[in-house]
Amino acid sequence: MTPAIEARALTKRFGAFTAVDAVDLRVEEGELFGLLGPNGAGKTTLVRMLTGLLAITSGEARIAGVDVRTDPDGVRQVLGVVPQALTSDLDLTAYENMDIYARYFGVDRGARRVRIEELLTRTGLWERRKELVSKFSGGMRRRLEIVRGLIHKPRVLFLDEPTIGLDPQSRLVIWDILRDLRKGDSLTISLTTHYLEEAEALCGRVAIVDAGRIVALGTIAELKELVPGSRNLEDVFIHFAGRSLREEGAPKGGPPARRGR
Amino acid sequence: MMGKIWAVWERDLLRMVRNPMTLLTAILLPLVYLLILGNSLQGPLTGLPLGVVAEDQGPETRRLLGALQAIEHGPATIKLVRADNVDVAMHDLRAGALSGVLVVPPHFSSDLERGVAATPGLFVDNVDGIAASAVEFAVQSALSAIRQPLARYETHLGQAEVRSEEIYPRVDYDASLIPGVVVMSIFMATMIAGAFNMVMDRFLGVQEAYLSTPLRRLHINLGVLLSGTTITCATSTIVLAIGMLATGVRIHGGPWAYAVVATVVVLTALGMLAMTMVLLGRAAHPRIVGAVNGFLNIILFFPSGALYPVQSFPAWLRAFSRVNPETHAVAALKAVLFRGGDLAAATGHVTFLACFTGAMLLLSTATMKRML
Ligand SMILES: Nc1ncnc2c1ncn2[C@@H]1O[C@H](COP(=O)(O)OP(=O)(O)OP(=O)(O)O)[C@@H](O)[C@H]1O
Ligand SMILES: [Mg+2]
Repeated sequence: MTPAIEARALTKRFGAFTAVDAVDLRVEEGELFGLLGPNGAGKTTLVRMLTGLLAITSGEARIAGVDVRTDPDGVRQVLGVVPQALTSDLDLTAYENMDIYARYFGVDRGARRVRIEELLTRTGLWERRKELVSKFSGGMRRRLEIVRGLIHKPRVLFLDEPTIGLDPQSRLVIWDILRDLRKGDSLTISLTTHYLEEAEALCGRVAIVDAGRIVALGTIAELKELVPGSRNLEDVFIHFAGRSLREEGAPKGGPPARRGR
Repeated sequence: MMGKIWAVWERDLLRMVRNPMTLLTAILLPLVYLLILGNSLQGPLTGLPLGVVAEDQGPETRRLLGALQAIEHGPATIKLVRADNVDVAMHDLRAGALSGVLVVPPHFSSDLERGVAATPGLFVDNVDGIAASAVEFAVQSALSAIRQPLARYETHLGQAEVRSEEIYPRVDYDASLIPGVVVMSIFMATMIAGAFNMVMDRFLGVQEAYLSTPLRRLHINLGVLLSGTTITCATSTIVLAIGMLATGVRIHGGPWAYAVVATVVVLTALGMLAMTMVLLGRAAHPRIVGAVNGFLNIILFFPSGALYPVQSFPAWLRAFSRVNPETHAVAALKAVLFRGGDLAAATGHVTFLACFTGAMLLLSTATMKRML
């Protein structure tokens, strides 16, 4: 079967700095895949290359079998993207944000109406659809942006830290939405997160990224087995990504996995 | 295809419409700016082309021509252009190639010598009031120059004065600034639309949302340029309407004249927006857009002939003004507003604007940055 997400030796360099270093990755259809890693590890850069937002330095990337480099438009048609930054338009209402975004994908008028009502109702925003997004709280805006990425029924959804800065209730709401999404169609989800309990609660397999490389990959159970004595994902994470701040370039706490500088 | 362009258009337009203060600036600023500048800029003019039709070859005519040549070589207000007959000269005047036509009637010399009233006719292109009065003044002084050595006839020659006839209904100075006000308002609107919106999206990181959709360069570029054009046309129409009300200028020549005005405004707006997109589409900070636009405003507007005739510029600036889109926008609007609906006079300028806009549209789409 064609994997939903596939990367081969995917590399991104900014000048002399290698942000993503020869990453190989294969995510099957219907998976909810977690991308973990410290700040600056290269998660966002990896996702941006996979979604055709950033030019690939070298290597290959395919989404649902479509090559990101040669057919970016084909890839964008099947892709849902919820970027790390908040990107909805503050001067537009919730409904306008959804409607205009749907038109970028060529969703026709009738389907748009039905779909927007369904998605906004699911996130509790339907009643406030006519309000400007500038009047929304951070949590409401996040919820809006997550369902905006689903407006065209994508086959693969990339979420880059969708629950950052949310209170526990809002986070649970988003978890429910994501769990819901998995039940229905064969949607594949790639979820970047810093919250390890989030990955434990939602993800089947996870990859731990550090300094531009995947340093560990597997189900959470598998990863725990790899690290003797680990009680939870946090122990595993610290083991692979180290204890110190990456930006400081200080020596690492845990045993080093094969990592290039 | 069109659906996607209109989606981009609508998003961009809604954002601008919901910030009415910026739009208001684009309307008020040009009106105030030109009111002030229009009243403070008055310097010497040079090189105004004056057509001379000499139907008399007598000594007084030769002396008059000599005096005119002295002005041409001295203060250089005028540049003499010999014309064979009145018809040709008048045609050139109407086409804007001459600033004035001086007709020296037959028997001018003999009449003067006999002490009979001799009246050369001067036709001036009063579309530009300042240039017209400069031409008139130059001819007056040439005439008084030839009277100096003829002191003995002076008492009899009281009528050797120039009779100036304006070829169009009178245009006063305030009214003559209207095309400039309109072009300025087009420029102001391009500062708050188009490239500015695009760069703002990049700066805020918002563009990541739509760059990951199947929108193509053409959709994004055209959508943003068309919403900018919509806004610009709206604000400059308001400015034009206020200007016309305030000065009493009317658009003559029926529906076609209105169509030409609309065409000029649309082409200029689209062309200017596309040009700033080419220059600034890749900028990373909205401040850069502000700074470069301020600079562009100066180098495009002042040489456009909006405030001051192109003839007052040094040669290099004249050369630049010939390829300056604002020059052609101003000239086309002047032709329609002040040449009594003579649309032919605007044709060349509209053609230039169409070519310029087409080229900028192609260039801006080709250079647009589709990735982060
Ligand atoms: N446009 C860019 N130019 C230069 N360096 C960049 C650029 N974008 C990212 N980087 C660098 O690439 C590295 C990876 O950044 P990236 O944003 O992918 O990390 P991340 O894993 O998403 O971090 P976070 O968890 O903080 O979001 C960082 O060191 C960053 O400074
Ligand atoms: Mg990131």
